[in-house]
Amino acid sequence: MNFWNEPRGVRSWLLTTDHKRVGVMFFFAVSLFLLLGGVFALILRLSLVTPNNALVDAGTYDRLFTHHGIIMVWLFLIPSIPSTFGNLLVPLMIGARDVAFPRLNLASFYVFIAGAIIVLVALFAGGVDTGWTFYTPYSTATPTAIVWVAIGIFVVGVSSIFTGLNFIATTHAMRVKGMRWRDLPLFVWTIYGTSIIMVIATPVLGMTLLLVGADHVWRLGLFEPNTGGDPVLFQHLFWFYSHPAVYIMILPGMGVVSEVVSTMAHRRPAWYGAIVVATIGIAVVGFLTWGHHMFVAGMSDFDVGIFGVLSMLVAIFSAIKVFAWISTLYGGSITISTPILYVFTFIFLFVFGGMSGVAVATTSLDVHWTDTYFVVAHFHFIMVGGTITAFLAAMHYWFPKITGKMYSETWAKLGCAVVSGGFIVTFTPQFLLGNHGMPRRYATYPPDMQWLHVISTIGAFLLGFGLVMTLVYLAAAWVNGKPAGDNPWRSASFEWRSPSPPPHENFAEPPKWTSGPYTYPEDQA
Amino acid sequence: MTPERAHVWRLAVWILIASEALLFAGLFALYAGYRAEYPETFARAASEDIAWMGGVNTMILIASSFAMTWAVVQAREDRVRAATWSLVIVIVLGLAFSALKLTEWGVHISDGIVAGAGYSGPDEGPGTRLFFTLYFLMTGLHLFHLAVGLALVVWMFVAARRGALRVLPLELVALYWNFVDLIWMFLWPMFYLLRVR
Repeated sequence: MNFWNEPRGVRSWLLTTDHKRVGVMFFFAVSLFLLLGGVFALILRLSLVTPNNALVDAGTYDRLFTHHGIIMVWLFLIPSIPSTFGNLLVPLMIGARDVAFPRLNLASFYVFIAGAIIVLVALFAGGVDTGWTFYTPYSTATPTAIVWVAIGIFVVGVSSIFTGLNFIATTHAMRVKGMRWRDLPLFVWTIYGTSIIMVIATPVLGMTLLLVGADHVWRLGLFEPNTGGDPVLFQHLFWFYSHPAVYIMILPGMGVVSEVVSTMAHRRPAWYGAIVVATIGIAVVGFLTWGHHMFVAGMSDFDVGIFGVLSMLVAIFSAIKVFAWISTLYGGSITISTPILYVFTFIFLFVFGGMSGVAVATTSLDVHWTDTYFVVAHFHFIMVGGTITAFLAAMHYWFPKITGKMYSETWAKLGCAVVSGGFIVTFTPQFLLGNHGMPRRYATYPPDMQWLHVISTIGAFLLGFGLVMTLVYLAAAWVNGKPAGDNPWRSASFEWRSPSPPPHENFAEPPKWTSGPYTYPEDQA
Repeated sequence: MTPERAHVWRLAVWILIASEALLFAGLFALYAGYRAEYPETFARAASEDIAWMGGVNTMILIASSFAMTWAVVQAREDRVRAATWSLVIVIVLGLAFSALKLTEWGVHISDGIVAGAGYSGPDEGPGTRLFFTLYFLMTGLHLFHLAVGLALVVWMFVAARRGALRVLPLELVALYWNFVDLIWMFLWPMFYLLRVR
């Protein structure tokens, strides 16, 4: 008897208030959107194989990259880890029976689905060609389905706020008796930091997109120069959310890495306190860096400098984490398993992407790289490389927890190699393309850039193949994998102290706080 | 309800209010940006708004917040009758605010002052349309929040009539109502007081 089959029936799933079931439903939804967004990416890459774009016309190309961006950012990356693994694990990790507001949690799922359906219907029925950033004044004039997409993303945002509110309340109030803030697992800390960003930043985006929609319908002219409006103000409002949003994506990923590193090295995380400070530091400073998206949009040199320096501050917090992970691993008896391999990929991509982030935060260099493939490569390394590898690490790490089954390590390691290799082959050439002057969002390019585009496309298909392969062997393991046992990684963390898969209310008997989430015998020795 | 559970509910409503505040924040930022860009236009355009209606509405909301808080005080002392009457006062004042606000909109619209491209009111210089677009958007969003608050107060009133009034929900509704009131305290100077005469 566990949460999968107790209680039984479709109805009990659709109306469930069990955080694990809500997490599972979110997982299937966002995985579907990942594949959908990926298909758009593959079509884009295919059409870029030839310099003059023989596959689609320029208008279709604009829609393709817009749809890719919108689906990936709002329907996959934002909810990817918080709504799935956050939902599945936060209550387990703090020894709670459920989240603070289980019905609100279920509502957040249905609101998300409703928003996603509005967005997808708008995309497939009309399409949008503004790019996922919706820059004015074009977005208020485009003849495409911008209004419905704006409404859909607003609705998805409401779901984000519900989720964030729930996690903050849960972390504050539902911890098992005796668990202090300084005992909190690092994954819970990152979800907490993410939730703060969700409830504070999302409403600004929601309002901004509604304004774009209203502008489109009623010609308000709020951002249009011919009525005295200022298009750059839109960019400020948009990035006030959309920059912190990248920390919504990456912070939970960092939390996953901290958990996997500690478990696989069988040690207490080095510099726990510093990681917590860095987590909250990123969440707070993340709100003060939005201007670095607008270095060439006409800000004063002083503002540009301030935003540049603040952006680099994020790199310091991130570096603290990277050093902490490495020093946790250093000298530990590491179990080389698929999750830790994904963590190695994460650290590589994150350091590489992060360093290129410091480079583009350097204002004089950014002028050269703005709106080129260099920026595209940078944010794919961080957002996608970071978030997807962390998502896959989490998937492999907690798979035995959620399903009670174990996958084939051979297939999983092969899958990890294909995904990691595919990713690097896709995006490394894009750094070179960008530095060479290839602008983003262009359907055509000079013939001497072709070889780099071809390599990038090959990598994209490799990456896509790796993801499908992962899906297949995990599905196979779910159906007839070997039983994993309650705690296959010998983790000390709280979520592994209940049966795998966990029963309906998480713990067979009320859990007791006896030792912290990172108490390993190896540390005592 | 356990004290822990009550704590969770209070926390949740405060988070919700923080979120709501940020929903308005984008519009406040736009107002600040455009006011800095067109200070004279905004000062002249504010004179078009009907000062006495704004002033009376401010009084109404302050009084309603007082009545709302009084209802909580009475409910805590278990004086349901007094609490119920306080809620009636809140409802009446809330309706009065809405009526006055809609009347002011009506006067504006008949003068050609509307949001967006249909604007045919007085030209106060560059940025006039921006001022009135923001005026309609912000007072409109505020009125929408007030309507939601009013629905919540009616719900509390019905509960009180049924003898099922609980203190915590009432307290949380009062918190929300005071927040909506507070938003107006910013809108009032922005659209009525900072003007030329």
